[in-house]
Amino acid sequence: MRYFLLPIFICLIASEGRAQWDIGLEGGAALNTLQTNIANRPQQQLRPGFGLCIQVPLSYTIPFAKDKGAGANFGLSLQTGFMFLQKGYMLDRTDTLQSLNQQNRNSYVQMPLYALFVFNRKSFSFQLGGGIYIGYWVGGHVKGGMPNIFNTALPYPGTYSYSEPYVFDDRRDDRWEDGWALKTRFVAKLQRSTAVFLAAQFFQSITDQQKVYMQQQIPRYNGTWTASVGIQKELPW
Amino acid sequence: MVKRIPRQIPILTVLIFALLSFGCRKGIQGTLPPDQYPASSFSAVFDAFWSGMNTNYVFWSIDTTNWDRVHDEYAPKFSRLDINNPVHVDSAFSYFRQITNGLIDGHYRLTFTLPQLADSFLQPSAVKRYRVPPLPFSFFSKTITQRYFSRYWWATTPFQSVVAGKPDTLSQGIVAGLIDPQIVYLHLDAFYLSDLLGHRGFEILDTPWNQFLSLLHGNNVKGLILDLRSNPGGLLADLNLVAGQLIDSPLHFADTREKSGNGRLDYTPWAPAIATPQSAVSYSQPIVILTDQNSQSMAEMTTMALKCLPQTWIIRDTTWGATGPLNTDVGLYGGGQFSFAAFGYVYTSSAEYRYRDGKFYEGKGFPPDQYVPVQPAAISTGSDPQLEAAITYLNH
Repeated sequence: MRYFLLPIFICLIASEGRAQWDIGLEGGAALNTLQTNIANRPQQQLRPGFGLCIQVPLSYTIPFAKDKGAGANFGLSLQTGFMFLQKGYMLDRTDTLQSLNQQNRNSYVQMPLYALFVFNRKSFSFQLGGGIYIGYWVGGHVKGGMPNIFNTALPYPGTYSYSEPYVFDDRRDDRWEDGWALKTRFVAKLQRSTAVFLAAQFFQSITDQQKVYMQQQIPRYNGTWTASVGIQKELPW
Repeated sequence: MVKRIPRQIPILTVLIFALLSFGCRKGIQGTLPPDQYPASSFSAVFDAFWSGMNTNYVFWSIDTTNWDRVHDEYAPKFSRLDINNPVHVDSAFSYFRQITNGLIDGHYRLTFTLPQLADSFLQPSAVKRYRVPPLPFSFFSKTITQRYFSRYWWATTPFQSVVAGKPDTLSQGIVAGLIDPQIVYLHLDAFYLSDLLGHRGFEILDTPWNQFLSLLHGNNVKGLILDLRSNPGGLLADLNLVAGQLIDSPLHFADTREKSGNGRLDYTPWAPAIATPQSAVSYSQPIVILTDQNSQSMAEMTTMALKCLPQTWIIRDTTWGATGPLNTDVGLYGGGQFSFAAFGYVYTSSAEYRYRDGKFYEGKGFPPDQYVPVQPAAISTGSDPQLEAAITYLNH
């Protein structure tokens, strides 16, 4: 319930302050989980997969309250930007079929929109909030091993190894994705207009990775954590 | 620079948090393996069959059957049937026939474990493709050998195997010979050689096979006739055993892919189908392959593999159209054969098969280069117009 009250609280105490624009560049790692149900598939299991995260964040921060005694102030930061994000996962076979697996690495271009609460001190600031995002699945890569039914001369299970671009099927693959997101940042100020930061984000898709093309379709969602470091510079606007 | 906070910003913040709180995706419900549905009602039997087909049938990318419409139309019909009523069991069989009639899988066969239907099965491709009965082995081993061959050897032997989940007695026959002038001939009435050659009890096959190899690599050979008419297929390993005698390097002739998930369009990448050479020397003389509408499965795949060689010519008729390979190791592949609700068994291909030209021949058959019509009157008198066409081709 407190989370419901927080933005209302922001509205109530909003006051004058010096707003600022920042633009930055950040990079880091992503850990994605494919959320679906394959309990009926024999000797199969899903594992999270790693990927890259590169982002150009743009933020607009408005201070709205100052605690003069503590030398701190509070604010609201609206953040957006473009990001390149790899959402991977592993599909493993178990027991005697361990040589059969597939590493999927799907690349997305995403644009999040956040509202973050800002706790600001002289040399650093801490930001926490949530938002929404929209993404587009620009490409993919699959790597692994599958049983090649014609490899009768090879020892069981006749593994064929591959590493190739993912081929989209327009009948099935829904390349647009949207969902909600959480973000936190710790920003350390270096100079008057430059800062470095650590950021963590979580993206939860609320749209299926597949178009609705069949009845009793089992949906597939991405849940992605990212951790990144970056630098930002205040814009002179 | 000092600015006032626009009033829209706090309102937007409220909306975002509200979305975070209430915007949630729907739950992820899975599906049961088809053999774990109860056989207590026809509703459950139909659900198991329909769901199993979603997951295991490998031709959804090219099959035009509207499987969702099947569900909408037949789920209510099955729900009105009583599984303990013999008349209703017959109705269910009729529904299954209607449902499966349009499926393109040339191997597809639906059998039943219910005692009332134990002797019944449904094979959609037989309805669409069966035109003439297969030629008997004696036609190859006796009729044409006596008329056209200068030397020949033949043998046939029964053996036990499991087909469509049921034990069965099959046979493997070979006819090898020489047609003047120096045309080597091989007929196989099935592809089980790799399991039988060199094994105790099946030594009878060794002589014609070894004679064929000896003739094939002999001097002054003018060409080869590989007669795969009325050959219903067999083991994938026979591809290397037979086609491998004619190549000296791996031959990539097709690609296959398997199911990778529960969705109808969930597939693995394409894997190359490669024939592996068994000989150090490639066969450079012309090859004529004889096929008919009853050339199925491995007979078609062998024909298609050898058609990649520039000197191959195919005579007579389009094949059956069962090109999807099968494997009985159900757990290994993501799709293929499955039993449903302790009621029935679906015998179906384990992988989707795409020929080297990028086309699918499943349900259509592989066309010949030269069509020679069936002439029952000629065959009944002991002549073989298709074989004569092959001899004429090789002599010119």
